[in-house]
Amino acid sequence: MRDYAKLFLLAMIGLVLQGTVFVHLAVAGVKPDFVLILAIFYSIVCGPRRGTMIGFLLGLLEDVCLGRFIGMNAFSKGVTSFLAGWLSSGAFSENLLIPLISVLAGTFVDSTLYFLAGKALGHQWSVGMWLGITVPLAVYNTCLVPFIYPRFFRFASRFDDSRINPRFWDRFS
Amino acid sequence: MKKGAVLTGILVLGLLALFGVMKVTAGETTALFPVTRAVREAVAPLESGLSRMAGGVSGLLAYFSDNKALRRENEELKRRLEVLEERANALAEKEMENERLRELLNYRQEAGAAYELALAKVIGRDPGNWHKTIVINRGQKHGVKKNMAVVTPAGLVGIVINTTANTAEVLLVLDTESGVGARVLETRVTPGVVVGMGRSDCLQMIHLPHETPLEKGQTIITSGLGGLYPAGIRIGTITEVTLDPSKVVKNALVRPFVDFSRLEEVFVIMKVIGSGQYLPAGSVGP
Repeated sequence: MRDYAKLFLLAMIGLVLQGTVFVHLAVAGVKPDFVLILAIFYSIVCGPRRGTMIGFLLGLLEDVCLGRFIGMNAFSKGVTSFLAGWLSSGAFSENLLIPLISVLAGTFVDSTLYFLAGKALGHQWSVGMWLGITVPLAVYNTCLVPFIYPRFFRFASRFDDSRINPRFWDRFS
Repeated sequence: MKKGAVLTGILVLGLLALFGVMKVTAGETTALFPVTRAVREAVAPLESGLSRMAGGVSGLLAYFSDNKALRRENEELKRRLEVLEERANALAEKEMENERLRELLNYRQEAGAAYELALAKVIGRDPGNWHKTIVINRGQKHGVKKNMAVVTPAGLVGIVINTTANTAEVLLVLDTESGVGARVLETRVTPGVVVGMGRSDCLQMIHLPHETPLEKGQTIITSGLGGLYPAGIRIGTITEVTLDPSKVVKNALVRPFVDFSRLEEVFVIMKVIGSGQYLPAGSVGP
């Protein structure tokens, strides 16, 4: 239970960083999405069922922090986490390629779902805007994976339901 | 006996000769003894070489003995340089802040007749990439309410959309949800609406009749229509005019005056006084 609290604390820190420090570290006007990265990582190491739940709850946390359009992030991150966990089910989560591909593809899925949900709610978002956000965001998120995943992997090995060899990354440290 | 007397005689004579030489060489004489001269000349190169060598050795020893002190001095100087650089940076930062605050103060004095303003600091931004909002450190406790306009000396920033006791969220004019009644300052033509495009460097003015005379470089200000934003607040300049695909209305791309990536302090318009029309000095208009 304490580890889940840490996961949510990490997500909160990520959100605060996104709204402050990363405003100045934006690439092509885009800040990284740490909450999405965390949700996808969790799904890869713990499977689609738990991953969907955590993705949904982390998205909801972001929505609550935003205070408007509550449910949009919960929906997009929940579905993205499910797909990331489901598609990586047969793969070894120790392989760095898995989170790299998952985050790259997951960012596209998440952005597209968020865009479609926004359009459905009446936002005046254009396809150009969707592309202008999604492409640099996918690249930015993916570039951060090698820095975050090994640490997350060690952290996630403490979860009871993780599907990983907890000693895997020790050989690289 | 005879031998002893001879030796004594020789000794006395020797001493007398020595005293004689002493006497001769005791005075200030410029001429050296030939022997002295010869010896000195012979020894001079050796002396010179040895002196030089000794100097070198002494320098070498001094290098080793001074190295430690020099290193310590170097470290001390580096530390001092760091402190000074830090101070210089802090001073530059203060200078910039001072300039910004002076600008804000000037604006407050100039616009004071038209608006009652409250200064607020930007403390956060939307963590996502889809919405363009900022959070300021003034809320209900300070009298900030929903739908109050937010400005900087450069121009319009946005509108307060929600508040807590000590903070308020401001929807920037850049957000696609934002819509501001606007008109062209130079011609006072039929008002249009400025909407955000989700980009930080561009706005769009829409719903402009086909025959509206629009030109690149014209200034767009709030029209006051709609009641949310007071009239006359500068928004941006027209950078491009395009015809809508329907060919019935024109659109214009507007570059905002406010640099949204560098927003640090803003003013919340708490109250509009009188007509609320304030145009900063230098604005062109009829």
